[in-house]
Amino acid sequence: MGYKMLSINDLHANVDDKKIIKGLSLNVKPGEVAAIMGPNGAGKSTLSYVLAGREGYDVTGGDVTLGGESLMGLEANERAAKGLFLAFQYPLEIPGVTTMTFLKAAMNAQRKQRGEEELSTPDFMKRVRVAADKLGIKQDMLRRPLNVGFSGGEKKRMEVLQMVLLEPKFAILDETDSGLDIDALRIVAEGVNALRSPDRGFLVITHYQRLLDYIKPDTVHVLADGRIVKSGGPELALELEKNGYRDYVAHAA
Amino acid sequence: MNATLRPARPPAEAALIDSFEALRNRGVSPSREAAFARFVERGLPSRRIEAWHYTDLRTLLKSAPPALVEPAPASLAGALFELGGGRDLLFSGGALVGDVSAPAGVSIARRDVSPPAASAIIDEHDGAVSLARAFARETVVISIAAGVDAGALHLAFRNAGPAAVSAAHVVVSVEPGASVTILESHTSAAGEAHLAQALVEFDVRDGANVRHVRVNDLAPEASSLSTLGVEIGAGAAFDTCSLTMGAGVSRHQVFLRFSGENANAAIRGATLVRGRQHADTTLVVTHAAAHCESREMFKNIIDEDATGVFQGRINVAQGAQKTDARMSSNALLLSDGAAMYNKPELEIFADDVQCAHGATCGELDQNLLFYIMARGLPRREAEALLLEAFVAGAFEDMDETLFESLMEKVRGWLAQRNR
Ligand SMILES: Nc1ncnc2c1ncn2[C@@H]1O[C@H](COP(=O)(O)OP(=O)(O)O)[C@@H](O)[C@H]1O
Ligand SMILES: [Mg+2]
Repeated sequence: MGYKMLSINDLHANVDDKKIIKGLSLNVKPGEVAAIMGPNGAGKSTLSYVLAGREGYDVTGGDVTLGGESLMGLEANERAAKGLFLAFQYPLEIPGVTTMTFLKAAMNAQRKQRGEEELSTPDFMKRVRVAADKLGIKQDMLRRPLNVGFSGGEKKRMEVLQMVLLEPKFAILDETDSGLDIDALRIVAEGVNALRSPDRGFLVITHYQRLLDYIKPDTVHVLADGRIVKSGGPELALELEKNGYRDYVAHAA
Repeated sequence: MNATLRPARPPAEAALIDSFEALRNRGVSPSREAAFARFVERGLPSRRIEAWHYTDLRTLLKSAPPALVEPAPASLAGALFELGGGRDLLFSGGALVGDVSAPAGVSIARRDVSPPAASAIIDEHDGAVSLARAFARETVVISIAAGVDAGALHLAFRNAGPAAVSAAHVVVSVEPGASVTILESHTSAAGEAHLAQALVEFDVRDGANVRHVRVNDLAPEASSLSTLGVEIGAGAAFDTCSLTMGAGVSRHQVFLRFSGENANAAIRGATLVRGRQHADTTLVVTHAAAHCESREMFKNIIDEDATGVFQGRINVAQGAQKTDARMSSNALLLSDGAAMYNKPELEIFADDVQCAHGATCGELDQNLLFYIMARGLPRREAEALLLEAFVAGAFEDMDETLFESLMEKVRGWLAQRNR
């Protein structure tokens, strides 16, 4: 299949007038799980924010398309409604807004923008219960303000819960493995694997190879100094595990 | 040149004096005359008076409407709190109108002559207080008999018809062990520059339990001056919550004193203003007895070119040991033109107390907004979600129906933010 799901074409982006993404190109096909690995500070999170449409992350050149449609100039919520999802490296706490309220607001906001009916409360409750059970998220957590007082691992599970409920076309996971113990990692990976399908794409950002034992990638790309410097199959991840990023860091300096 | 000439009175002050003089032909009690004399002597409060530094009525009130001659017909239609069954007291232009049927254990009396102040804590020299006493045509005294649970009473203050200056004066006397919920709603005719005043006094006796909610939903053309005076006896509980959204210029001042031990009070509220509104909340909380607890919590959302003021003063008298007082005022400014003045003050004369205050002033967290938007909520909805949660913080532990009716008002306000 030559059809491109996510297509990043010679992307350049600045944060606070500092060049961070410097001519990055990457294609991910439907059904593909692409892994991005790279040293700290390479620009992995920045790339995820640029793709999600964060304000202040200025695209100075290039283009990004999702399913053939350009994302450039769209607000973050419009990209989300088009099926783009970002699981944050550092999920935020929202005091005063219960997880349930937040989930319902998000699901219905996306449906509304797509011209779909709002979910009925029983339907919504059922979806949440089923998905939360699979991820080992207790009901009482859902009644607490989103992420407030949650452990690092709980926050990451909550990101995956949101992804499962929002059923995106394309999901970016930014270091979803960090802060997870091995059991939590397995649960989270199962959640992601259950969503794998021929018409859904993933970009899995990670610093360590470990996550890729559980979420098997189709392609692996090395991001250093704001661009993709090497691409390959799963074996590339193993090579990085062995040799580290020193070849690529030197490259960056 | 005449050397004895005093500086000209600002137009609003002069108009208020004329308005009162017009009322005089109709007969005014000596206590009202005395209050009026205090007003004439000091005039409208200006920034030169410390307590009014941020709310200079001499410049904020451009003019004053004539005095109300006859209360305009008013109705409860569209009331925020729908209690029904004789539990709504309808006021028009400060006077009680319509049927007055008191539930069992409650008495409601109308007095032409103001009774002596329920409490000595109200500053009688304060300009807003003397003006309200001068213009209040009657005093409505609500008494809850000892031990009675009177449920909820809704005082619906309406300012209908053409712009006028008027004042309501209500004294609520809650006998020992009694409990009551008093809900106040203040509204005014659209487009009319009413000057609506209210003076509400609570005498909360030992072991009584009072919940009080005040909603200022006046038209933006109106001005509002209100004073709440509260005296709290031993072992009593008092909870007052104000929601200020209306009036172009408003000042809500609370004078509260603990006079018996082991009592507690919550003084809280939210202010949501936009356009060129100016909203001032000023508290003077006096711990005159030991072992009392007070919680002051105010949330302010200031949009467009509006201004918010919060002044909170906690006095702890000598001997008021084991006082526990915590005050906070948080403001979110939603535009460059918005301004907030926070002035917390503690004056402590006892040595074994816990007192704290915190005031913050900031903007919505952009990182949080991005997170919420990335989940699909458009910017305004993401902002509304955060703002709603922020305001709800002031309404914690409230009766659920009451909480919902207040939040409904808040959501209505948020939905009107220009897109
Ligand atoms: N808000 C910001 N302002 C300026 N520089 C930033 C900002 N955010 C990140 N950077 C810089 O951009 C580079 C890439 O950061 P990041 O995308 O977080 O890397 P990674 O996720 O690969 O560890 C780093 O040099 C970092 O210091
Ligand atoms: Mg990162």
